[in-house]
Amino acid sequence: MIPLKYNLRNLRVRWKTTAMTMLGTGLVVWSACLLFGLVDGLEHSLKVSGEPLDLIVMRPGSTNETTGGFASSKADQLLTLPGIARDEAGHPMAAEEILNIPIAVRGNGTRTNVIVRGVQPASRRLRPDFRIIEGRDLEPGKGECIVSSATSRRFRGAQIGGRLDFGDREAYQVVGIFTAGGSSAESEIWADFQDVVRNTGRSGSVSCVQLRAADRSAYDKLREAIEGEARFKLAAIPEPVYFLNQSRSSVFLKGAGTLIAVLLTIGAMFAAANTMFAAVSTRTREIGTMRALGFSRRDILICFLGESLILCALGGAGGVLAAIPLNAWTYETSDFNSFASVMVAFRLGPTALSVAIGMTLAMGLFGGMMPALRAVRLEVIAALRER
Amino acid sequence: MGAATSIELYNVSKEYHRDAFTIPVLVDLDLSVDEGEFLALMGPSGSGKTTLLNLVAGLDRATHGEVIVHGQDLGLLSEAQITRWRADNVGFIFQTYNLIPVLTAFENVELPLLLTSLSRKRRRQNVATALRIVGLEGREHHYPRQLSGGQEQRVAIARAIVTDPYLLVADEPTGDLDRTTAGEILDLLQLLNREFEKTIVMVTHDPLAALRAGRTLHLDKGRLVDDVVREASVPALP
Ligand SMILES: Nc1ncnc2c1ncn2[C@@H]1O[C@H](COP(=O)(O)OP(=O)(O)O)[C@@H](O)[C@H]1O
Ligand SMILES: [Mg+2]
Repeated sequence: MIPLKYNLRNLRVRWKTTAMTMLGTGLVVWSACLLFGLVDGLEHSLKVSGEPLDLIVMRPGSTNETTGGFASSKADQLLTLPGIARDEAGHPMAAEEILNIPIAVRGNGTRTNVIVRGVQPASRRLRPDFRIIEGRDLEPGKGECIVSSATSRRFRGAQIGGRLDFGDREAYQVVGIFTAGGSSAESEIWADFQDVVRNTGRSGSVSCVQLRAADRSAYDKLREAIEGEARFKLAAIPEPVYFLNQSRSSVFLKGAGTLIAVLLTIGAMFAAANTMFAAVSTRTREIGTMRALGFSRRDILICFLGESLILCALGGAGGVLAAIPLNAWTYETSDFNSFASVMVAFRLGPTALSVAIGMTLAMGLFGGMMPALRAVRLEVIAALRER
Repeated sequence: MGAATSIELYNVSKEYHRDAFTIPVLVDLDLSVDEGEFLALMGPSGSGKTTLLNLVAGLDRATHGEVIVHGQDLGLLSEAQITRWRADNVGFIFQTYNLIPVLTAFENVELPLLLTSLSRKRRRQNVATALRIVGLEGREHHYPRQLSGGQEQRVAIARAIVTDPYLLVADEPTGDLDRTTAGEILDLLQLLNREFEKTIVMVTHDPLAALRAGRTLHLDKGRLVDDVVREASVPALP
């Protein structure tokens, strides 16, 4: 085999072209990381949001919590059902919740819908890794709320000590910042259940009940009871299923991302091919010499494909590295059902990384293939006569 | 020495085809070269010297006739086989040295050994030996651009002999060198022929260079026109 240092040193010798090609392939990989990092973020939040033993109880036929209200009397009975998991203190892990979608003002003055969720104490345990990271948790009945740090940064009055005003009757004092393992809760503003009921004048109904089954068999019995018993006749949707249905924006992002990634890859492939064609033509006599010495056509193919791959891998690695700082970035989009603002935390996860690696390989292999084949097809004696 | 036959050409022709034309480059060539001979090929430009050299070295194929080197009929070998055969049997020396610019002298000489199964340590030893024979100890880590033309050609010769091939082919090896340096390179080739018993075929334009060989063939328009065998080749210049 022709040693790798041959390729590495050639890349270094023509460092200007190498740098330009790396810049091109790097930018392309970076852009793909950006798009698919959002897909990863969205999918991650949907995945961590869906606990296998959790059920979301809504009005039958409803597909979204924001449209799924039912009577509080039913909700109160749900909380007493057997088979609900209990926390260390013996409290059932089930909570009535009420959702409201008021309009909030962003830092730049524009407006958007946001989800205000009225929660009960158990709501916290029903979210993955719920923690207060700044300030304190809200106290019921005092008109207080807590928000995620992304929300806190984005909306007017959402900083600790600030006040979120949603019209004359609804306002909340921000007292703390929470995280919830990157789940969808981080897009919401959390207030006390009774406060939200009072502020919105919606006493007598809840949006949903969240609960966790103690185990697999309790889970099945709970579902049966909630959906079958005449006193309920409600829909008990498994949380993973619920969030899978919410993933439409992820499907859209993926589609758009794939299209853009394919187009960009083809563009970068030409850049890589161009560079490698130049490399082959300036090294024609070297190729002839190596063939005369006894290196086979296959050796030459591997050598030039390898060089193209190394070149694109350098660019691709640069693109991925440059995408790492984006990990601190949150992107605001709209929920497809409620049009409420949804925060997607950029995440350089498995999708983004595999797309980056796939694109790099495609650029290196397909971009390098034609030039490498030209090198392979050279007639030894003609190549030796060159220059 | 001189008993066994090293190179045999029977009725060899070479034609190139360009559009509808057939260009005859070598015509009905018969030739026999003994083992250990140092053969010079002379003739005007375009007379077919390089083409003949390429046939003998297994770089090109005859249109008609047989080329047999060291008992091997080259016409019977597949492309992959003849590539392998070259690696095992032929050392190449070019007018323009053809060193790989991004590799050091050591790495250039080591290159053909990468086609063998020799260990790293053995490769190192063989490269050191080859560089010592051509008188370039201490220059291992120089890149070609850091060497003079004569030194570059010595590296190329080291690369040609490092696999201990049976045959050395040299196409105008002194064509780009001044007279003194050319003399030194020819000294080296003579040494390889005498001490290491390499069969050498060398194309040259320089009658003085040809005098170093034991035998000189003259080609004209693809035909052998003269074949001079000397009793003993002229010794090295002082
Ligand atoms: N690939 C080729 N196609 C057509 N003609 C060729 C080719 N290679 C060599 N020739 C012709 O063959 C003749 C002999 O070339 P060559 O062997 O290089 O001569 P020399 O080495 O004696 O100068 C020249 O006329 C040259 O133009
Ligand atoms: Mg010639």
